[in-house]
Amino acid sequence: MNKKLLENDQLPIEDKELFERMRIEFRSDNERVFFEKMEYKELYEYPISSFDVILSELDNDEGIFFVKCYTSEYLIGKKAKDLVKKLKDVPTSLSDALNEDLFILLGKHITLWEWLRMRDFSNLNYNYEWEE
Amino acid sequence: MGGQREYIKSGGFSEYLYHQVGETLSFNGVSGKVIEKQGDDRSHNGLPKYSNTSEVYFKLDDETKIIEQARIYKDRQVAYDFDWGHTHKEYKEGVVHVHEWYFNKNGGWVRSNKPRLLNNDEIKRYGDLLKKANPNVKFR
Repeated sequence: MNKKLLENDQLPIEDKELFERMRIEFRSDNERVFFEKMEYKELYEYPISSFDVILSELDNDEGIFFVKCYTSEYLIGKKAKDLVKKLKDVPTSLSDALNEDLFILLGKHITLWEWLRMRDFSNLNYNYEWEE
Repeated sequence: MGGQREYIKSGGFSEYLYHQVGETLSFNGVSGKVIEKQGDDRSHNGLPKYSNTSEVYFKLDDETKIIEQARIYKDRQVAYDFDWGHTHKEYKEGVVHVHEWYFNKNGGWVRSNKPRLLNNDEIKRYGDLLKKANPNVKFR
């Protein structure tokens, strides 16, 4: 299926502005790549049942996961052994997701964006197999 | 219950990616099944795009194992999601909100990110079943 033909027509306004701004205001090369990839995902990759795991709990010591669902909804949580904890708020834009406070997951007030910047956006996965 | 790749238009799937958990829930002629996807440790999954014969599938919350979502199918394809296990800005956890699925202008099958409350017809048809699935759900 040609992804270009399936462009998402409900990109959140705040994300359009964010993607535009971050073309100039990125703080590292990895951050620039993150926003480029996420813009592409919101436009052309929208999972229906197999969600897009941007960061797996297996790929960071804190067990944080960051998962894109549908066009622009995001699950943020923590998974360690049998324990699963998710933020109850499911943001409907990347902009809102990045501003979520991770206090209930990490025990300290830090936004997802700040936390990702601390790690310089390491271990993120941008490959998503389009099957739906 | 599966995706595009496994879907057989005349009926069934080439491979079943989900399995049923517990008994089928029924009320007033509408029934639904709780299902789960078989997945590896890295997977995070929702309900399938296509149903087998059911009009309704339910999803369990990973954390609480309580039913948190119902997906409604028309002609085997997902048509509506009734969500109550999370909060979106104006819709608090526990209040059922509806995400409609539709073809966007370019032909992609997408879920609206602008939810709404259940309408009266939906409450009449599905309300009791949803209450059976999770007695704590609210409609307003």
